[in-house]
Order: sequence, then structure tokens, then C-alpha cells
Amino acid sequence: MVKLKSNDDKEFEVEEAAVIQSEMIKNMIEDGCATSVIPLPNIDSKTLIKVIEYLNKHINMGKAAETGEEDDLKEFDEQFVNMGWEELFDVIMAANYLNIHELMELCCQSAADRLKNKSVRAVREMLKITNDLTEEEEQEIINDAPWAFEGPEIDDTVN
Amino acid sequence: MDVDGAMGIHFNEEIVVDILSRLPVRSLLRFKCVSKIWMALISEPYFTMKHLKLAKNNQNSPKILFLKDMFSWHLSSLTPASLPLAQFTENVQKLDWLYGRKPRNCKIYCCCDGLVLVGVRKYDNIKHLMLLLWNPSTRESTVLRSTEFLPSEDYICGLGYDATSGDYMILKIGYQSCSEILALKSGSGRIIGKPTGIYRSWLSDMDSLTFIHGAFHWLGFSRDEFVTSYDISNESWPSGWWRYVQDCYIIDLFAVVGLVCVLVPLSIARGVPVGSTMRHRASQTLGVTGKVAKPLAEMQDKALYSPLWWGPSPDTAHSGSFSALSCPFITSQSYEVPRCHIKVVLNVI
Repeated sequence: MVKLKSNDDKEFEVEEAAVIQSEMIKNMIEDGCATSVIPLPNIDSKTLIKVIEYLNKHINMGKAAETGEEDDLKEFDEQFVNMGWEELFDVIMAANYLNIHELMELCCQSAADRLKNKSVRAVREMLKITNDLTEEEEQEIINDAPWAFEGPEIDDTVN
Repeated sequence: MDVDGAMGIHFNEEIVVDILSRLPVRSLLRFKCVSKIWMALISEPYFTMKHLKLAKNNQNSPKILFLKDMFSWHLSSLTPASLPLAQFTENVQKLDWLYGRKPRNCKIYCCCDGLVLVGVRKYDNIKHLMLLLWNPSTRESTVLRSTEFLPSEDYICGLGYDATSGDYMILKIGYQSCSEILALKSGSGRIIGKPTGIYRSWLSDMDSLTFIHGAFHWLGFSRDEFVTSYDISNESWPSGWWRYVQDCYIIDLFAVVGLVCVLVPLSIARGVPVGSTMRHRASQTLGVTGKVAKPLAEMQDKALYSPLWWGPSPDTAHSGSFSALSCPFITSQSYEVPRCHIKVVLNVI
């Protein structure tokens, strides 16, 4: 078992087989740097619980294919990304920090799916980005491909 | 997450690129408007390459290009997975005409990484054949600089990516003029070579050269050498892989998902009067061993012509995943025309 500590000082025990899906922790273990508790200063306990849930489910990816559990795993993944924006971003940041490739793929794809049909305004608001383009610059981009800015599917809501 | 209302979400650039590279081109063109950083990221050539790589592997990205009502059916597609017929039709995108008004005639020569090489004759100057490079995803097009070809001359063309120079190349072969190779880095096509001894297709309406594994392939002019190949990187003439079908009457040649395909009359394909390797492969292709998806198998009875697939050399020939390739033929039901135009769109941006 490996002990992980979130930035709000909560400790979690995870099986080594599960936790080594994180390249970062795998390297730490291989280098002998994971003797006691591994502190994760960038991840809060709420996010860490989600990540551990994922790691435990995906513990034996190879086996799933053999035992026909692939569909089960697919369903789990679909359910897993069914979370709020901010939560999803927390998980992306954590997956990136821990270097968990499959989780990163899953969450970035989910983020992309949610952004796909959004309007520019909605994207800015969802990601809390301040517009620093001048009106002329913006108009120039729109003029280059006006069709990309029009269409019934473009969604101005923020969620 | 590092959020406080005023500062925004602190994703590093790498994560933003990871998310953006999964978006369709239409969204990307729109999101250039989000901020200066997003505009810069999306405009980077590095990002384009990353997006291309991902789109090639993504089964859900649109890859079917359909140009109807011109000559016969022009259909371009890349379907890495077998799509049900209904879905296939849904995925077909209608594309705008390049110059507002419908041209007098228009011919898709070939596609490579989502770029399409188109020949257009306009009503006001029907003698002049204009060569355009078109990106249907961004709806941008560039007229290629006139070359030394006679403007009115008909030619066949192929578009391919040369990994050695990191540039897209066009090989043009005319009836009268000598052949030309154009490099596209300059944007409008620069002549970089004039290979000699190249013959155009003996089929007058065979309008494109198939590009695969660094070489162009087409049905040669001389009847005893059915397939001609030209390697753009080595400027050489690879040979050998097509000897397996020398006795076949090949009707068309094209590429699907990294494989060279030929179309031969079904009667020949059934009997396959060629080498044993080919016979084995052909029987697999034609569904005799049950490896082909049902729609293709059903097509066999109706079709007069049948496709055969194999890799650039018999040793590397694919024998699996034929089901993945069956889809394009479902739509080519007009088999009384002894050819179907199936070309490959590999990219989206």
C-alpha cells in the first residue's frame, strides 16, 4: 500500500498496483522516494478521492479486455466525467500533475466535448478568460471565417 | 484548481493545447476570438500538426468529402471504422462552391491530409484549367501558380506529403508537356523537378495519382506494366509489389487507410487468375472467409467490379481489418460506371 496526502492534510491508502498508473508516483517508488507518505501539495482531498476512484477502477486495464469488462469500464468512464466544470478542471490538473495518461485523455476529451459548440462569450466565462483582443482584431478573425460564428448549434449558455 | 474570480483558471499552455487539439476546425476558428493567447496557440504550425495527428486517429472526426452532380460520383472518404449506412449518409458534409458561382466543371484530383487538389474550369474561360488547393475544413483555397503546362492541357495530378522535405508535393503528368513536381511550401506551388519517362494513365479518365508510403501510384500508360509508381523522396521507380496482379484487368487504383487498392472485375476476382498469395488475399477480401463486413459481402452480388486491397509490398499486406474498409463501397452503388472515385481525406485542418 502507498499513502498519499492531500493539501488539506488528509491521508489515503492506495494499492501500489493502482497508484503506479501515475507515472510520477511510479517513478518515485522506483527511485525509493516513497517510503512513507507522499505529499501532494497541488491536490485537495475531494479531487484526490475522485482520482483514487478512477485508479482503483482502472487497476488492471489489460485484464478488462480479456474478461469482457471493457463495456463496464466504458460505462464507468462515462459516469466518471459526469461532473461539474470546476470539478473536471481540478481532476485535469491533478491528472496532469500525477501524469496519469488515460485519465488525462478522458477528461480533456470531456472538456473538449463540452466546449465544442459554445460561443466565444460562453468559453471566456467558463474558463474565466479576460478578452484582451481589440474590437478590430476580433472583427478580423470573424471576417476570416464568418460561418464559424453562425449556426443554430452555437450555445451561449455557461454550464 | 487554482481559481480566484479575477485571475481565471490557471491551466498551463500544455493542457489548453491538449483540450483544443480535440476540437473540430469550426470551433477552433471561432475560439481564435477568445483571447490573444488562444489565437496564437491555434495559429501555431505545431498545433496544426498536433491536431492533424489526432484527427487522423479519431474515428469521430469528419472525414468524408462528397462532391455530387459533377461528372460521375466524386467521393472522398476516410473511414477508419465501419459506419452503418445511415450514419455514413449523415456524416456527409455539404460544401460550398469555391467561387460563389458553380464552375463549368470541376474535378477532384486527390486528397492528402485534408487538403484537396481540385481542377476547375470556369464559364468565362473554359479553355483554362485552374488548379486549386482547397481545405474544406477551413473553407480556404489557393489558386496554384500556372506552371509550364499549357493552360488548356488536360493532366493528371497527385498530391502527397514528402516526409524528407516536410512539404506537400504535387506530381503533374500531361499528354504533351513533360511532367512536373511542385512543392507547396511557397503557398502557390514552385516547380522543383521535372521527372522524365513518366507516362500518364492509359485510362483517359483516370484523373488522379494515388499517394501512399512516399510514392505515387497509377495505372501506367503501357499495357504490359499495369501499375506505375514514382517515389518523390528518392526520385526513383519502386517496383515489384504489383506483379501479383499483372494478369488482372485493373479498372481503378486508389488508397484506403494506408492500403493500395485496385478495382478488378468481379469475375476475375472470384477466379483470381494470379499468384497464390494474391488468391488467398483476394478470397479474404471478398468475404469468402467471413472477414468482410456484411454490407460489402452483400454488395458483391450486385457489383460488377470488386476491390482488392493490399499493402505496398506483398509481405506487408494487410489481411485483417477489412471490415473497416467496406464502408466506402456501400455508397458507390453506381457500379455500371466501371470506376468509383474513392479517395482519402486524412485530416481536418
